[in-house]
Amino acid sequence: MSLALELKNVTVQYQTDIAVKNVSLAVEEGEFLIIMGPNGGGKSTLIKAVLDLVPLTAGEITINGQNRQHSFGKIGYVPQQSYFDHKFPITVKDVILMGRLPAKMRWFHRYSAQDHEIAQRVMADLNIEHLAHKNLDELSGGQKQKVLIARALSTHPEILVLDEPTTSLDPPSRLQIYNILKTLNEKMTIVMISHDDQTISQYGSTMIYFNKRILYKGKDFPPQLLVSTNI
Amino acid sequence: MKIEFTQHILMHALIGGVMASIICGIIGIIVLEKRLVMMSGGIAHSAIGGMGLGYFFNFAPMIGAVVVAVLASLGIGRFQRRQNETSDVLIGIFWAVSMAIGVFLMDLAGKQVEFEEYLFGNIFTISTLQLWLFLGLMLLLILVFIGLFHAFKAYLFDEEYASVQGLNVRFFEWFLFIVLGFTTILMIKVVGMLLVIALYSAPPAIAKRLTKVFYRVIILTIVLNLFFVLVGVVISYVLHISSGTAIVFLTGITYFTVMTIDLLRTKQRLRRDRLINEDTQT
Repeated sequence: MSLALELKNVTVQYQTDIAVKNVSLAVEEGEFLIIMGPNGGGKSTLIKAVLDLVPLTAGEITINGQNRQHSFGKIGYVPQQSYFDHKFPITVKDVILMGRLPAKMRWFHRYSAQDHEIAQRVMADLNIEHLAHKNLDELSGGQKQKVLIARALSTHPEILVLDEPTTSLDPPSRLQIYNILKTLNEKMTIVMISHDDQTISQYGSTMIYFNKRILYKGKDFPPQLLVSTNI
Repeated sequence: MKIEFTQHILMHALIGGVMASIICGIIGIIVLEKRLVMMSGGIAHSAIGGMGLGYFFNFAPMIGAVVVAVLASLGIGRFQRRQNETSDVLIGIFWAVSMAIGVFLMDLAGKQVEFEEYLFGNIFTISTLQLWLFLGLMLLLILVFIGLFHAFKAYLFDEEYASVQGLNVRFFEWFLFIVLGFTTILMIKVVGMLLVIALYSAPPAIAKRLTKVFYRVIILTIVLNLFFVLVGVVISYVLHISSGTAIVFLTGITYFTVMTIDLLRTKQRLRRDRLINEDTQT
């Protein structure tokens, strides 16, 4: 099986603080990788490095064998909900169409009929068609999360990267999101940051415990790690 | 300053007011969404440093003001990104140091400067050159905003995601900081440096309470600006007060009125929902 994502000796440093220290990691196609670890341990920086949102101090990241800087559209990203203004005047469909924006800015760009069709299809897949013309601030936390997943899916990604997608969701919404991700994992590789240790055995194929570097990698979450780190 | 109102002066004020309203309508939504209200205040006041340079080295003070404002805008943005410093600290430092340098240089140059016009604005003193600058800036903003509408919206809504999509977020950032510096200085003529932040923040905030569609927020902001500026100019002309004061009074009164009505409506809706809930339970 070929590698979807590979990190070789990656270090990310913010001025004097090292957030990611000499990390090497190989993620195979079709894997469901869950990243766990303490707050402030550099998990978000690690995925931001993969997404080319932060510069690498050292090392290399490749996505399907290609440098990360040439991988626009290959990765679908679902950020934390706190990263954007929930009162921004925008409809659900407009958020999803954002995933269809071309990487190269085009003057007087208009979304094509195909873009609208794809947006419609991902909304149907996630059962949020009825929300298309609703404003983002009218939605519940779970619905917003589905909208963000739909936006990421509209790019037709090979890898889906999610940063704590179930934070502040109630248990039924959390379960819904995990089931959606499980279905999606049949078609794509998933990398997800989570604090929810119950997800690992049920949904994840691999987990890493991360605190500036990989402290543990395996299929199950060892109970002694749970006790020693107080997650 | 005593002004003899001629048809020519009134026409300049009117045309300048219309263009300023359109410019502020577009810039205002960016300032509001990117939370740059305080930064605009810092930029406006840093202009005094530039004016001081102008007086000291004997060139037009407004040219110095524009250069320093654009540099301050870029500087604050860059420091913020690089040093991860909180923006209010940087804005405070730029604001105070720039003003101190400006006043110091004016003292050295032996100039007694009438600050009132810079602080509160006077739309009746807009020159033909300034009108051309207004026109150029307005056309540039309209072109970029309409030409890159979807990309701009993505940048304003979720900058990080826009970057992951491959959009040139840096382009928007540079464009925004340069245009913000330039616009803020031009607006000093209309409302003055003390009051420019009111014209940036209140109209889009009112518009956001009245509509939830992005392009409608911008159009409504422009319409509100037109109302505030034109009615403000008439009040200023009739009552012989500074244009900035009249415009900002009107803006402030409208903002607090809309906010109060909105709060009362929300309270009323919550009370109605509670009563319905109680009815259903019984």
